[in-house]
Amino acid sequence: MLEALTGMLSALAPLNLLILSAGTLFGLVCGALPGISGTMAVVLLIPITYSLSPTAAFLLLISTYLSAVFSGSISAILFRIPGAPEAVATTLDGYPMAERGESSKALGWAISASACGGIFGTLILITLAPQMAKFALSFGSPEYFALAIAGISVISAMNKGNEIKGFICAGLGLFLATIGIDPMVGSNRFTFGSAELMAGINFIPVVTGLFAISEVMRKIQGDGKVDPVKVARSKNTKSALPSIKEWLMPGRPALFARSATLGTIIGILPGVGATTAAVMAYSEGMRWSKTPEKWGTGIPEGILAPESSNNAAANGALVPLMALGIPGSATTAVMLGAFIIHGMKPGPLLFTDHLPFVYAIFGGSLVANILFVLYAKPFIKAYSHIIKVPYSLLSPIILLLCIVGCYSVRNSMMDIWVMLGSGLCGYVLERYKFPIVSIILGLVLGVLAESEFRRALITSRGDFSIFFDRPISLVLLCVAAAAFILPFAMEAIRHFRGSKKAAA
Amino acid sequence: MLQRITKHGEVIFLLVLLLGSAYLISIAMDIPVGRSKAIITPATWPILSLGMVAIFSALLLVLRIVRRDKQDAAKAIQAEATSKDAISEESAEVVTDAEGMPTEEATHPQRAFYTLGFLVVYMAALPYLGFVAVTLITMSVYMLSLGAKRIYAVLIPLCMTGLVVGIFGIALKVPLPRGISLFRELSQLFY
Repeated sequence: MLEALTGMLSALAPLNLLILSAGTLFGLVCGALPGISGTMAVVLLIPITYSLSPTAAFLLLISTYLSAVFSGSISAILFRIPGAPEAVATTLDGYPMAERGESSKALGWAISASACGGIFGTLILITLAPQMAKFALSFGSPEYFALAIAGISVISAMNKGNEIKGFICAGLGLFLATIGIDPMVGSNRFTFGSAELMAGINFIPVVTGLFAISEVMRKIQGDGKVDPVKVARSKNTKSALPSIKEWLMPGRPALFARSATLGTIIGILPGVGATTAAVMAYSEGMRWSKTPEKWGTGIPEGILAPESSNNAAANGALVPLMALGIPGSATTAVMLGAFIIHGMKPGPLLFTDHLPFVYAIFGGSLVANILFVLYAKPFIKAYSHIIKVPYSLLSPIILLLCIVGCYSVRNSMMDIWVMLGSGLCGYVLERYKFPIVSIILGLVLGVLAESEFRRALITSRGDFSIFFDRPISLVLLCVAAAAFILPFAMEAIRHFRGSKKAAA
Repeated sequence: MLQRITKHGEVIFLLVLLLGSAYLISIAMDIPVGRSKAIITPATWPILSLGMVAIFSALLLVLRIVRRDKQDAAKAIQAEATSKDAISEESAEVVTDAEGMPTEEATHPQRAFYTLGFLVVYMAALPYLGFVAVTLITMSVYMLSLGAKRIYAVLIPLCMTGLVVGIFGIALKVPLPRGISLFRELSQLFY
């Protein structure tokens, strides 16, 4: 116990605080730039950590990763470009808020939700790491498939009154997820002889095209003048961070608890990641909301859910890494490499052989979540001036960032063409009120759903009862079925009652 | 012409979706299944997702056509009931979207296609002229076409190109396109 406490307090040593500050600032800058994800930021720092002690090295890496996960939301809110994949769901409500001149408020919600989600995830990590790791191992293919289907099932509730278009978009997303080499058999699917398409359609160019390029195409048609009302609203950066009263408004504490818990659980599951966590938290938040029709129009709840979830997931991903030695995400895989470089072997023995080190990382993670709230405030102030820039100057910068951001993911020209195609599609889809968020749901969850569905059926030798024999899978599939059917059933009942009243 | 496309745009788009998904389903049928004897083959998931797109596009298409017929019939009755010509001309001039609502005011609707055109030209020229030259030229021309002041149209592309080359080309070692011959040599001066 004393050893653990000493370890946690060591994160507050002056040198470690300096390292945490440097990592947080580096992560904030990297995440805000499209094309540099949290994983890339961590990779860039690996050579620097050679000369540092293991504790200092991991404090640097963790603070960088956690702040990069948050700062991806900066460009998502201001330009509709998710700076990191984890910020894609934040775009949906963050950007409409910024459009109304409430960019500082939206950024304030993103910061506070990220910090609280991160702290929640760290506390779970401190208290339940070994137990949670065992829980993660109980997840097999049927559970993963059911989880993905539960996420996709929100489409009917999400697009009330516009369900058909929602299903078309979900189908498009699910289809896009199948392009490339088949993960089970290795057959080429829709590659049309292109070697670049064999690796599949990357998520970033599709999202950038659908959101950012289509938005530039739409906004550029206006007169490009700066709206003085929006400028006046954006100046109010003092009250950017939401007050405790705002946090405690009805529904918000429950939404936070749900999203952060979901994020932590998804983060713990190997191979799922913070992007899925954010998308799932957004869809679940909307599912349980009393006013789902307001989601996507620019409400704080739409930022609170994904941001608390993705930062909780970033912490959650450390659980299987530290407790079992299994990396739960791309970033933790890089960190596993860093452990090996420093002569350490993550796993159950880490908690017995290097307890102060483990708790120093936990403490560092808590401190990093507080630090990026402090450092992000000047960022908000600086970014709030962007609204004053005429769109004729801003749009070429946004387009260039989109192009470079997409190209740098895989150094592929094909990705830029995909971005352009998605941009045109996004423009047309939005023109005719198709919900593009359903494409994202299909694309993010489609890969997981297909591969785990087929893997489960191979394991069961084609027996579909595998999905209903296991309790977690059964519950998730029941939730999904209810979510698909309930909106239609409710509508039918309402219609039936209405016609009965009319007849009377 | 543009107004006619806008008016029937959704129906055209749904037709494209329907035909496109039907074509892709036909391609999916030919995906090799390997030695696998599993019930779910590599073609199953794409066929299911594209089938979903095709079925719902067809459904929406039918709904749109039926609704349009009803709207046309209602308009005809309305036109007959009131002093005919004035109303019908007025309603024909209002540009409405798919839901029948007036569209957002766009003072320069052609700019969306300019932007798309610039992006296509940019990407087509990138492998030949390299990142530095293409970015400087197209960004400046694009900004001037949007009515930006000359000084900004020179300074912003210069700063942005420098920033991207510095961060991505030099610091992150991203292999930005260098172009061919003279442009390749030019790029080697920077990254």
